[in-house]
Amino acid sequence: MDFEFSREHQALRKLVREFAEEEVRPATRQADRTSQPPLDVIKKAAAIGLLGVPFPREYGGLGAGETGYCILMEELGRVDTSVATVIGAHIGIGAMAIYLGGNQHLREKYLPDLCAGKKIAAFALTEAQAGSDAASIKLRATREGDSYILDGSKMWITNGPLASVMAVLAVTDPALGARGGATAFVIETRHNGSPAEGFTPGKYEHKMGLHGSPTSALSFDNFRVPQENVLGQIGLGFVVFMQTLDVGRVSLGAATLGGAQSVLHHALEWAAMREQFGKSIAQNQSIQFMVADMAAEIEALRSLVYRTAWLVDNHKPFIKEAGMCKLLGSEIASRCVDRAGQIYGALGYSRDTDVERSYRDCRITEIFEGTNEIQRILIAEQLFREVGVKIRP
Amino acid sequence: MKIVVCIKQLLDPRGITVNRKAEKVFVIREEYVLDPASKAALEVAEQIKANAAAIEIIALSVGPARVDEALREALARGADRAIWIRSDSNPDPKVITNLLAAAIKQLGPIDLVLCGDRSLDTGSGEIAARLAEALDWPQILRAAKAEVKGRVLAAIVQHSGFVAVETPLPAVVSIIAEAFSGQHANGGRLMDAYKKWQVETWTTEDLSLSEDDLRTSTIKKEDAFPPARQPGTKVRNAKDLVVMLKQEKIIA
Repeated sequence: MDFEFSREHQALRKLVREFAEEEVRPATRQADRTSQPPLDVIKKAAAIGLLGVPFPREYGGLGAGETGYCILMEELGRVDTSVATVIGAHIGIGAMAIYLGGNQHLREKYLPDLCAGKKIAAFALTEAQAGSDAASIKLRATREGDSYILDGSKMWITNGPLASVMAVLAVTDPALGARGGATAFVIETRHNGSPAEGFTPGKYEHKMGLHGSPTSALSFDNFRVPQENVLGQIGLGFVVFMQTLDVGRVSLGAATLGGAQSVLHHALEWAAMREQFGKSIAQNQSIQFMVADMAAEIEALRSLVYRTAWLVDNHKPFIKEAGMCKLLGSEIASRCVDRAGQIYGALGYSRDTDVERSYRDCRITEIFEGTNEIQRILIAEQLFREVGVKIRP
Repeated sequence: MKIVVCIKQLLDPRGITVNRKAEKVFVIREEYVLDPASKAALEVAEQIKANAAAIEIIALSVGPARVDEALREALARGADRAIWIRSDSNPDPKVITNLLAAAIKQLGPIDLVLCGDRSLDTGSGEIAARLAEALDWPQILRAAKAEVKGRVLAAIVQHSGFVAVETPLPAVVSIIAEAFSGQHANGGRLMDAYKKWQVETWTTEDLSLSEDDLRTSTIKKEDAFPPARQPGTKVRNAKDLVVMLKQEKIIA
């Protein structure tokens, strides 16, 4: 057993940490206040190759695998969850769906531009009536010659207002439903910044947190996709989308790990500095217990996240562990921001602190990319499968 | 054309805390980083390469095994070759200069040597000057900018401004840390630096130096802790400032 990161992964962590501290951190507050994504920071990340971390070099990536990608997400999550979300939706689910589901031609056509940040990607699954119940999607794709025509809408799409390339799941055979009747496509929604014909970006969501990560609805009206843009097989798009989400959960766990680590760091610094009753509050056991619990949970999460990344990189089964990364990561991060807020006292309620922003940013991680309830169901499904029982149709 | 860039790795000052009362420095996190002035020198080399054809950049560093990381960062920052000059003892500027000069001579005809001007740790800024002397080449120190057009044209810091200077090649030029743009290493090159490319290792035996060349001439007498900086005078407004400057005879 070797718990040491490889030398290239250590060097990558150092590079990303430096980038996060020097480029991301200064832009964080303004992005949160104005709800504008820090696009120049994303461009700088692209310029040094950070938008292609997990993908092979032949597609313009860094070839650093899931482990490298988790390092990127942890270090970005430590500084700004919004930037981690923009980049995470771009790499981890948007481009990842093309990488996992696309043939050689589609990979070569789209991945180099996405890795270089010339285009931003999104992953469009959720609809108004299809959240946790993703199989209930209604966006229709109708065959017309050698094209498909998309009609309908999507909701809550991260990077919706930015992306020009999207992986989208649509119903090609309503009789068969999602399993057998849904097909994944890669579509081009913007050309030189203007919406493509038949595509209208929908309502911009004003969210509790993640202000620097834009979210919107998408609307398709007679939107044409060439048949060659099908990801995977016709009718089996649900599989491509679920596989993509499985991988995405590991890196989401990594981002929450970074977030939790960061609030612990703030809590320690503040507790050491803040004096009440003539001594630093770090002298109080009540505070010590809180930071010890935070650190223990964070350390357990770190082991889980990087072991799961190792499973992915070594082509071993990881679905159960990926669900655990997302489930535990989001809940540990929530407990950590809650405790850090308590240690900070009234100051942690002020918008002048990172703890307040973390509190708002972190709430969504228990909800998006499959609610934690869905994660528990997925984990239980895998557990029962291991004893030979199938608990879902 | 060949450019050698001498780089220095140092203890990350962000991992150090200073206890003034105890007059002690504590290392909280032992991590090593590339000196900002070295980054500036590498950046100047890359700019020269971008404006001319067929330039090879060779990064050199003297030190223990850990400098391998700094040399790989140099590769990620545009160096074509990286050479580690192995030194497990604690070499002083004289020995470092002898090692670098011997390596530069061994590399064959080199047109330009770039160094960081003053490192963040010791900051004596003497390597470039010593190297120029050892190689018997002209030197330009404290350059904020340098380009090659048959000769080296540089802008050096003097008093409150810059002076344009030039010298024929080969030459030694030291680059100030402030010249560094803040550009990060390229991720793709960083991965290649670990997975594809090699750092060459040269030992003192490879460099045919005498025992005398390798003997340090620095003697450590004692540790001195710099006194806390005294607060200056607060100037309330521009008018007071003008009066003060006149008193000090800085303005008439």
